[in-house]
Amino acid sequence: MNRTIYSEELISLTAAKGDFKREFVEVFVTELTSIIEESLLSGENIKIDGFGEFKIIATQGGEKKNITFQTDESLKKGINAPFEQFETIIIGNDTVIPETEEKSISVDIPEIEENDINDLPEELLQTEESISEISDTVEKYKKSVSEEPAIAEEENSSVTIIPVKEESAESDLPATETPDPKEMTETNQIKDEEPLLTEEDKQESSTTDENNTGDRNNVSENIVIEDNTTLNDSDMNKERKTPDSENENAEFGFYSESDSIDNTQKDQEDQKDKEELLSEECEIVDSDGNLNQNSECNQYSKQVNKSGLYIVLILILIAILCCVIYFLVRVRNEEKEQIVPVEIINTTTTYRSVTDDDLKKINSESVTESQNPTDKKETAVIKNTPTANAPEAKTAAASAGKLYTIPANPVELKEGQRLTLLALRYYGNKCFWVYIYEANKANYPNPELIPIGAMLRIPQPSEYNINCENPQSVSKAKNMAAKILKEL
Amino acid sequence: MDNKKLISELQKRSGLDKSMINAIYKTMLQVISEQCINLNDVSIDNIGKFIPKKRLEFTHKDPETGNTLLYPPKISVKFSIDKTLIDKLNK
Repeated sequence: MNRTIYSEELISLTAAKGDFKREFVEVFVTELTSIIEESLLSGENIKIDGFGEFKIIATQGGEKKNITFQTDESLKKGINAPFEQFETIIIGNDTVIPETEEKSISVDIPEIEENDINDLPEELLQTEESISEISDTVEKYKKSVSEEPAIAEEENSSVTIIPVKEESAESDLPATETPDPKEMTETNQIKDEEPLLTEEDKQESSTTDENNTGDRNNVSENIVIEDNTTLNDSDMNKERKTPDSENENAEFGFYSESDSIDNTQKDQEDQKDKEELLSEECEIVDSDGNLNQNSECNQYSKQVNKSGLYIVLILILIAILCCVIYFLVRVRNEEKEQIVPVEIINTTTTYRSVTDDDLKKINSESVTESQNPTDKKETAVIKNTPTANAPEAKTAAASAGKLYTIPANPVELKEGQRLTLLALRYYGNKCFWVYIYEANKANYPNPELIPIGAMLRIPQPSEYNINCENPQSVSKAKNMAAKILKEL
Repeated sequence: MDNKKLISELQKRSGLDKSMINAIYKTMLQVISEQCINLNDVSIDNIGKFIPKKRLEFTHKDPETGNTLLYPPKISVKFSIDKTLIDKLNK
């Protein structure tokens, strides 16, 4: 909201815009307002086309009346005329809304309006034609470069002509974009000069050929170049049948004659260097053997292209081979890693067979060594237990073998031996030393002061319910050990 | 009251031609719309005031389809009727 325009200003603005007398407009506005007011006060609704509709509405249960106004759609459209070009668009969730969209569009509209409507389609056609001509000239240029090694040999003739095509292609755009009357007159003048310039070109080229009569090869090359250039010019003229295109062609000839030479030489220095190298090589070949330079240069360029392609293909093949070898090596390593656990399983199977044999041996030994019936029962128990897991069976079998080698006679305590070691040997756990101590408590009351050579009775596991696999018996033994050590 | 009645009434009171009335009316509407585009309030004596407001572009997600819609900017016009007119009506 900038400011408020009151009825007086509105009257003056309407009068100024429509070239009306201010009095008429003032009368119109005052009468209009008075009619609206009177009709509303009389309780009548008013509908004015293009303005809106006044309606009287009863509020608060009919006690009071209120007036509503609904703006006409045409007035709304007139107000929103700058935004008519916008429409609701379905967008993705991740798209970012450009903030300058409105400005860019609003700037573009007056530019179009300023130009004459009748000129627009012609300009568009010209631009399309110019674009097609540019593309054609570029393609022709590429073909001429690839097909004409003679262009590389003659710097004065070929290098000056080639860029002229590009400049003609480039010069088409401004000519079409800005159709000024001055430029049009210039182009018409140039059109008149066009045939003379082409003839001059021919004459100059022929004179240069005549000067270079020493070498017949050079002369023939120059003639070839002339033919190409003239053919290009003729092709361009055939393609450009419209008068505007002829003017452009005249510009083409004009720039090719005088002004474009220096600029073109500056623009394509790199191409010149390359072409000079090629021409030198071709000349060397001529001195060695009398062959056509054109064909040799073509062959040379083809060979270079082919060798480059071969190198690229070889590199790609090497890369593919490397990838294949890498994957093969990786697959083999994975296979080896998968084989390793299989071997482990086999070893476990061997363990199983060994443990079964060991169990049998141990059982037989235990039966022979121990004559007590209780030992036999325990062996029977142990026979059934270890077949579940092979390593566990082995340990259990080993521990069972030691358990059941408990001697009936007392054992002499040798140097380096302790009660814990004896318990580990005969019961499978150190904490069961307590029971050995209990069995020999009468002779040796202090477990820490048992002399070497003492005869110790090893009690049978059934006496104290010793079982190294049972955690309750282990905990019980530990508690007893703690009590005994406290008493000491 | 219709548009025809209004024009005939205006002809009677002002003494202007119908074509002149239509021309002045159209130009006045153009002036009002131009001023509203410039976001200027346009007040008409004893009746009310046009108050334009520019609403910027905004996005809205349609709950039915799930598509996000980008709505263009818009100038919404509100016409606030003069309080004296309402007071006169309620007397």
